[in-house]
Amino acid sequence: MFDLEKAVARWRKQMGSDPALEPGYIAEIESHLRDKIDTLVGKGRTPEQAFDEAARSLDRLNLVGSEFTKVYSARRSGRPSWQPPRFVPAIAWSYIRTATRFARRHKGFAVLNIAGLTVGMLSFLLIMTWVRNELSYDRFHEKKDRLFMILSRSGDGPTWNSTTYALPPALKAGYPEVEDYARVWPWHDSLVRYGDVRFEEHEITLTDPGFFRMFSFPFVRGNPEMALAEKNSLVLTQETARRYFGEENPLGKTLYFSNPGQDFTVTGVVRDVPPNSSLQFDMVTRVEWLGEERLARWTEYVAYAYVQLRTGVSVEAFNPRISGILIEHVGPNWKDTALLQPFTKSYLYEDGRPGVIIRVVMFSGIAVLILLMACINFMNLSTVQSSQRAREVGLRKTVGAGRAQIARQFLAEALLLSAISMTLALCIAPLVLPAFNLLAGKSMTLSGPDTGGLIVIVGLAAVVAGLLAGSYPAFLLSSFKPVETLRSRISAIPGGASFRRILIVFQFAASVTLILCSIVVARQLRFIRNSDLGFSRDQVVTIENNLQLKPKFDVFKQELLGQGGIINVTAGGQRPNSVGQTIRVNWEGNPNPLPAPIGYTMVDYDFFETFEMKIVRGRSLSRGYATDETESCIINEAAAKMFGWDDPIGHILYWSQGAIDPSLRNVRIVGVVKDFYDRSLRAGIRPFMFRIYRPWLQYVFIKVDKNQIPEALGRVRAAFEKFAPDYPYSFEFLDEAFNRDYSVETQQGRLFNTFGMLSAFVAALGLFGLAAFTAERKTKEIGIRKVLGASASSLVAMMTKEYLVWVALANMIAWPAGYYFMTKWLNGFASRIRLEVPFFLAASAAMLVVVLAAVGTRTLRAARANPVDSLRYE
Amino acid sequence: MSKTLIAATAKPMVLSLLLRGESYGYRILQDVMELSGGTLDWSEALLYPVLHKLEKDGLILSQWKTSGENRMRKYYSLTDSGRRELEDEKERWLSIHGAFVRLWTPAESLE
Repeated sequence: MFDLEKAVARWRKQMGSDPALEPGYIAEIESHLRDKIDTLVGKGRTPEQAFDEAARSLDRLNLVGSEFTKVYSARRSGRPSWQPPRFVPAIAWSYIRTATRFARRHKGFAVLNIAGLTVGMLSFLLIMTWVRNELSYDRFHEKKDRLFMILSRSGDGPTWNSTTYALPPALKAGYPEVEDYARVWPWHDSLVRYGDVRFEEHEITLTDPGFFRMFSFPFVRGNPEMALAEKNSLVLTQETARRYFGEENPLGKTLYFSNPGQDFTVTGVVRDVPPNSSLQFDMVTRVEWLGEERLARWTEYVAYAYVQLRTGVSVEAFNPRISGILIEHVGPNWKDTALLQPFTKSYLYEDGRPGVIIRVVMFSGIAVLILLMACINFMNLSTVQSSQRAREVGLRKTVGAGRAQIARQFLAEALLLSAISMTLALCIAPLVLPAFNLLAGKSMTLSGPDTGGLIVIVGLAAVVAGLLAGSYPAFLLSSFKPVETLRSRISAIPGGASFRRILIVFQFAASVTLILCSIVVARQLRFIRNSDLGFSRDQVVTIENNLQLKPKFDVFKQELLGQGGIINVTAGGQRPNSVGQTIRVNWEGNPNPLPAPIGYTMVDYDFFETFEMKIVRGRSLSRGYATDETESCIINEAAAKMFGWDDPIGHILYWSQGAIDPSLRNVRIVGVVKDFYDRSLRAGIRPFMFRIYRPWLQYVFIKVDKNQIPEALGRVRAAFEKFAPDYPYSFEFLDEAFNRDYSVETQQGRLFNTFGMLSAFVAALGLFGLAAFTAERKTKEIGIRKVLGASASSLVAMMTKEYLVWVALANMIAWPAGYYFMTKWLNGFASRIRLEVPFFLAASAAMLVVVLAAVGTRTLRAARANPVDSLRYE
Repeated sequence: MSKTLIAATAKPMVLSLLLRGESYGYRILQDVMELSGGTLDWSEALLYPVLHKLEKDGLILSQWKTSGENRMRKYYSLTDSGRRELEDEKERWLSIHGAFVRLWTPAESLE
C-alpha cells in the first residue's frame, strides 16, 4: 500500500543530500510538492501517481541547489565551495611532476608513445603536404573563379577536355557573357637560334592574345596586354630568356625558329611557370601559326581552350546556353555538345571525370589512418599501464578530486604528448622532405603562400589526435574507485581489455589492408612493364627528327644500316606507345550517319619490322609498290572489326584529316596488323590505322643489336651529327620513355609502399609495448613455469598465441576491404592482373612476421630469463 | 520561448503578481501559467532561485504561515523598495512595448 507520508519523507531525505539545499529551502519546496500532489489528486490521479508525477516535475530541482548557491554566494563564478574548481594552477605543477616522474620510471613506454605518435604525425604531415600540393594546382591565377576550360561530350557519352579550334572565337562573338578566350596548342619542336646560341625547344605553346590577360603569369618585362599582338610575337619564361640572352634585355630581340623557318620577336618575359600549373611552357606565340583553315575547323577536337566569363555570370546557367553550339555549326546529325568546367578543377578532374582527386582522397584517408593507428597505440599503452597509476588516481580522489578533474588531467597529458610529437614531427619533416619529394616526383616545400592553412590542419590534427588518444585512458582512469585502488596491492584493473582488443584488431586490419594494396599496386606495375603491348620496345633507340634530317632521311638510314649493330631504322609521327591522335574516317557501307573516329599515326617504311609488329593479313608497307607512299594504309584487327569486312584488303577509306593534301585522303587498305596498345594499358585497344606521310615524322626509331649497344649508339650519334650538324644530339631508349608514361603509377606504388611500411611500423611499436608489458607482468608466472619444466619455445608460443588470434581476426576485415579498394583501382586499367589468393596470404604473412618480431623478441627475453631472478623476491 | 526571454520577464512578473497581494511559490507558478494562457511555462528551478534572489535584494519579504488546511507555506510579499523597483521595471517594459507597437503597426500610422 502506498504511503504518501513515507514517500515524501524519503523524498525529503534525498533532497537533503544536496549540500546546497538548507532545510528551510527544502521545506518550501516540500510545500510546493504537496500543493502539486493535491492538485493532481483533484484531477483524479491516485496518490501514488500524483506523487510520482509531482516529484518528477521537481527533478530539475537538482539544478536548484547550485542556482540557490549562486543567489547567496559571494563568488563571482557562483561555484559552490564543495565543488572542485575546474583548474587549479597549483595542482597543475603536481600533474606535470607526476607525469614526468611516471615517464622517467617507464622510459621505454614514454619513448614508444612519443615515437609512435611522431611517426604518425610525420606521415600525416608529409601526406598533407602532398595533398596540399595536388590541390594547389592552377589556384594561383587571380581570376581563377572566372576561368573555365571548354570540354566536349559526345552525345550522352563521356566528356573529354579538348574542343575544336573554331569554337572559342564563336563563343566570344556570340555570347556577351564571355569576356575572353585562349586556345592552347603545344606546337611542334623546333631548333631555335640566337647568334651562335641554339637549343632544341620542346615546350613551345601556341595561344591567343587573351592568354596573358586571363592567366596570372606575371611579366618581368613587357606588357601582358600587348605581348601577343603580332603573329611573330614571342613571350619567354625567365629561364628560357637567360639561356639565349644571358643578362641582356631580350625585349625586341629576334630568335630564329628553323621550323617553320621564321624570325620571332621577343615581346615579353614572364616569371618561370610554377610547377603546380597545369599549363607549362617555355615559349609562347600566336595560335595563327596553325593556319587559318585549321583554326576555322568545327570537327577537329584537339585544342585545349579556356574562356573567362564576366563577373557574376553563373556557369550553371551558361552551360545549357552553349551546349548546342556544335550542332548549330556542324549540322543536325552531329551529336557532340560543349560545356565549361571550372579551370581550377581541370587538373583534379581531367576530362571532366574524377582523376587525381581520387588519389588525393585515397592518400588523405591513409594519412588519417596512420594517425589513428598512432592514437590507438597511445590508448593501448596508456590503458595497459593504468594499473600503475591507479594509486595516484585513488589518492587524488581521496583528497577531493572529482572524476571530471581526473579525466581532464589525463586528457591534458595526452594533449601535451601530442604537442611534443607534433613539434618533433615538424622538426624532422624538413629533413625527410627531399627524400619524400624524390619518392613522389615533386618539388614540394613546407612553406608557401598557403602555409597558414597547413599549420591550421596540422595543429588541428595534433589537438584531435591528443583528445582522441587521451579520451579512453581518461575515461578509464577516472573511473577507478579510490577504496579499491588504495586497499590492496592490485596488479591490474580489469577494465578495457576487450576494448583494447578491438583497437588492436582494427590496427592490424588497417596495416594488412595497406600492405595488401602495396603488393597489388607493385604487381600491377610489374605486369604493365612486362606485358606484351603488341610491339617490341626493347633496344629501340629514339631520336628526334628535324628539318635537316628529314630530307636526307633515306641516305641517313642507308648509312646506318650499312654498319654493324644496327638492325633496322624507321620513323613515325609519335612514339608508338603514346599516340593520342584521332580522326574520323568514312567508308563504303558505313552504317552511321557520320564518319567514325579512329586512332592514327604517320609512319615510314620498315615501321612494323622495327617494332616486330605482326602483319596478320595482306602485306606490310613496302618500297616495291610505288603507290604505298600516297594511297596505302595498314589497319589493325580492331579497325577491321569496326568496318565489318571479312577481308578488308583492297577496301578504300576516306579520311577527314584536313591538314594533308586532298589528293591524299583516299587510302586503300593493304594489310592488317595484329592488335596492339597504342596508348597505355589503362586505355585498352582501339581501332587504328597507319599510313606513310613523311612531313609529319617527328621521331626516328633505330633497333640496335643488344650485344653491340655501345658501338651502335656511337654510330647513331656520328651519323646524326653528320646529317644534322645544327641540331643538338640526344637519344632515349623507348622502354625508358615507356616507363616514364607510368610515372604516376610508379609514384603511387612507391607512396603506397612507404606508407604501408610506416603503418606496419607504427602497429609494431604498439605491439612491442603491449608485449613488453605482458611479459613484465607475467615474469613470475614464467619463472614458475620454467621451474616446472617449460621450455623457452613453449613459453613464447603460449604468449604469442593471443596475438595470432587477433591477426586472424584482422584478416577477416582486411581481405574484403583490400579486395574492394584494389578491384576499384584495377578497374582503371583496361589490362590488369587478377587479384589472387597469394597476394592476400602474402600480406597476412608480412603482418604475421611483424607481429612475431615485435612480440617474440620481447617474449623470448622473458622466457630465457633465469627463473631464480624472477622468483627471488617473493 | 527562449530561456533568456523567460528569465528576463521573471523579475517584473513576480513583482507584479505580488502587487496583488502576498503569495507563495506554487500559486505564483499557477498564476503565471494562467495569465499567459499556458505559453509561459516556468519551471520550479527558475522560480525559486528568483524568489530567493529578490528577497536577498530586499525587494520582497518572506514569511512562513500556516494555511487553512494546516499546511506550512512560505508567503512572499512586496517591500517598499520592491514597489519602487516595479515602477522602474514597468517604465522599461512599457517603453519597449511602445516601441514594438509603433514598429509593427502599418507605416501610415507612423506619420
